[in-house]
Amino acid sequence: MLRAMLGLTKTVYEDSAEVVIVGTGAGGATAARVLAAAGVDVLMLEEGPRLQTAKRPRAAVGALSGSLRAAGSQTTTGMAPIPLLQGLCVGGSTAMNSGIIWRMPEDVRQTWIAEHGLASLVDAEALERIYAVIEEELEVAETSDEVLGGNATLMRMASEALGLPGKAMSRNARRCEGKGECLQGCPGERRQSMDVSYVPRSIRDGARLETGCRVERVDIEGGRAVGVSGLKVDPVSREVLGRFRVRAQHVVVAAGVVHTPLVLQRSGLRGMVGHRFQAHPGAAIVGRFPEPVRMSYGATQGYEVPMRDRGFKLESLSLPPEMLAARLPGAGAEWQERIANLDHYAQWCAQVRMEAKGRITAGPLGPLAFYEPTERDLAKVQDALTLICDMMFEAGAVEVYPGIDGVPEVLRSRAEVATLREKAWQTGQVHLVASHLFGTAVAGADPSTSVVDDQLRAHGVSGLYVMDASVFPTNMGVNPQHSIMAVVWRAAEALAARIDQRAAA
Amino acid sequence: MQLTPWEKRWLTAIFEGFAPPASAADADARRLQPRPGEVDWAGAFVQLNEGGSPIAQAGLRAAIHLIGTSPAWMGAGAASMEGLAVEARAALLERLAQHPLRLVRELTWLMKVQASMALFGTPSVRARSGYDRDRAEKTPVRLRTKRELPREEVV
Repeated sequence: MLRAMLGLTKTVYEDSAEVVIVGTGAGGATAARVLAAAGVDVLMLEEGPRLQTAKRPRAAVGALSGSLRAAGSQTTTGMAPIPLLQGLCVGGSTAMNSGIIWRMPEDVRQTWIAEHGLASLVDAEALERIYAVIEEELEVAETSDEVLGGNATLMRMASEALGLPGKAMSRNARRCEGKGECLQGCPGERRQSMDVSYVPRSIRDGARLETGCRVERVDIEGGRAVGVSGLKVDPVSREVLGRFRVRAQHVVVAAGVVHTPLVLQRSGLRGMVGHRFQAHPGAAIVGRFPEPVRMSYGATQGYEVPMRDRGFKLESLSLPPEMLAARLPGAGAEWQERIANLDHYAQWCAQVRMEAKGRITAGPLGPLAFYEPTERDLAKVQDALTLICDMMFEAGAVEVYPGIDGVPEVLRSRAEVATLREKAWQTGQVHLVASHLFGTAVAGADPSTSVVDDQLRAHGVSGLYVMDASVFPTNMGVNPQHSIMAVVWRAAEALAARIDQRAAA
Repeated sequence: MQLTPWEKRWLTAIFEGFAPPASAADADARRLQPRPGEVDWAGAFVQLNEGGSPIAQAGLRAAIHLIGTSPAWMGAGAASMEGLAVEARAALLERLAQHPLRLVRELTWLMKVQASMALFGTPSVRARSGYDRDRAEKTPVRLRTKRELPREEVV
C-alpha cells in the first residue's frame, strides 16, 4: 500500500520529444511511421508490454489475458454487456486481429465529405496513393487457396452454392503459413501487425518507444498542448511504479476509441468528446460436419461474404480449441463427446454495421461505455446469423449450434433454421462481441459537432492531434484497420509538413 | 484475484461438472476426460482473470457463489455443488443453462467458458485433443480446391 502511494507521487521517468504519440496501434504506429521517416523526433508511449510474437503463449488463457485490455473483460454497460476487445500491448489491437484489409468504401467516403466536411482528409487521389504504399509495405495480398483451410473453404462452398458475393479476404500476410494463430500473435511474424512492421520501422528511422506509460492527460498551457503525463507501470504486471512526464511540441493521442476520449476529458476537453461511439458488434455460429474440417489449419480468417446492402459482413473465423469448445452445447459426458471431435467444426461470424450510437465516459472503476443496439440493429443480427445457419447446412453440416437464447440449442436440418425467423430477437438473446470501434472524438468541419478538424487537429487546443478510429464520424461496414492507417497517414504527412515549414522558418 | 478455500472448492466442483474427471485406469482419451488433479482449475481461473476489470472480477465471484450454491436453490438435494456427484452436477448445469432467468443462464455460460479455458490451457489435455497435431495434416482433401487435385482424388 505504501509503495502504491509513493508511486502516485514519485516521478520515475521524464523525457521530451518533438512529437509524442500516445498508443502504438494502427493509428499511433502509422503516425510514427510517417513522422519518423520525415526526420521528426518521435517518442511513442505504450501502456502495455512489447510482446515477442514467437514467445507469446499459444493457449488463449495466456495469450489473450496478456495482450487485451482488462484481459478481455472490458464491456458496454447495461443488461446485455457487449465485450469491447482492444489490444493493450505494442501494436494495439493489430497484434491480435486477423489482418483483414479493406479500403474505405466509396459510400462512406462520400458521407464523410457531404455530411462532415472532410473532403481534404479523404481526398480520393491522396488515399489511393497512401493505400498503395501501405499495401506494399504491409504485404497485403488475397488469401491463397493453399492457406484458406477447411473452415474458410466450407464457407466458400456455401457462398458459391447460394450465389452470395463471397471472396477470399485480403490480409496483410502475403507469406501466411496457415498456422491459424493470428489471435495469439502470428508465430512466424508473417502477419504484418504494427508490432512487427511500423513500430520497428519507426525505431529504425530514429523514433523511440517507451512501454509501461499509462497516459492520464495531455498537459495544456495557454491553449497549447505541451506534453503528456501519467503513471509509469510495469507493462506486464500493471503495478504502478511512479509518475512520468513527457514534454513535446506536438501531442498525438491514439489510445483507442475507449481510452482516447478519457485522456481528452481528463485534459479538460469537452463538447463532443466521448460521443458518437459506434461499433460493428458481431456473433458467431458453429456447425458440425461429418468429415474433418481441421479449423486448426489455415488463415484464422480467410473468406468473407460482404452484404453491405443488408448491413452486415460474414467471415470465417477459426478459434483456438478452448474458445471453440466453450461454444459447444452440453455439460458433462455430452460436452465431452462434442469436444472430443474438435476437428469436425466450422465457425463463421457476422459483423453488423449498427446504427446505434453510444457514449464513453469515465466511471469510478474504469471507462463506462453506454451503447444499446436498436431494434433495426437486432433485425440485422437476426438476418445475418440466420443466413449463416442456412449456409452451414448448404455446406453439409449435420448439426448447427446457434448459441441464441430462446431458439433450439441444436439445429439438425435447414428446415429447422426457420425457427430462428419466427420472432424478432431482443437485446441479450445473442452474445455479441465488438472489436471494430469508432467515434468518440470525431473529425468534422464544425467545432460544435466534432472534436478534431480535417487534419485531425483538436478544435481549440493547438499542438494536439487525435489519430485513431476515434476520429471516424461513422462506422463503415468493413474492417477498419486500413482506413485508420490511411487517414492517419494523411494527417501525419500534414503535421510533418508543418513541422518542416516551421523548422525552415 | 484471490479466492477463498471454499470458493476454490466450489469452483472445482462446478468445472468438474462440465468436464468430469476419469480415473487413470478408465480414462477415455476420446472424451478428453481429465485425470484426477490433472487440471488446476482454480489456478487457471485466477491466471485468466487477474488482469480483469473490477466489475468483471465481481461478476465472476458472483458466478461462483450463485452456481456453487445452485443445488440448494434449485432443489437438487445438496447445499452446494460439492455435495453432488459429478453426473448430477452436469445435469444441474444443463438445467441452469436453460434457466428462465437470463442472469443465471449468462453466469452459467461464463463458468463454462472459464472451464473450457482451464481445460485446454492444460498442456497435457491440449496435447491429447490432437488439435495442434491436426494442423500438420492441412486441409482435408474434400475441402481443397478441386483444381488443385487430380480428378481421381476429388471426392
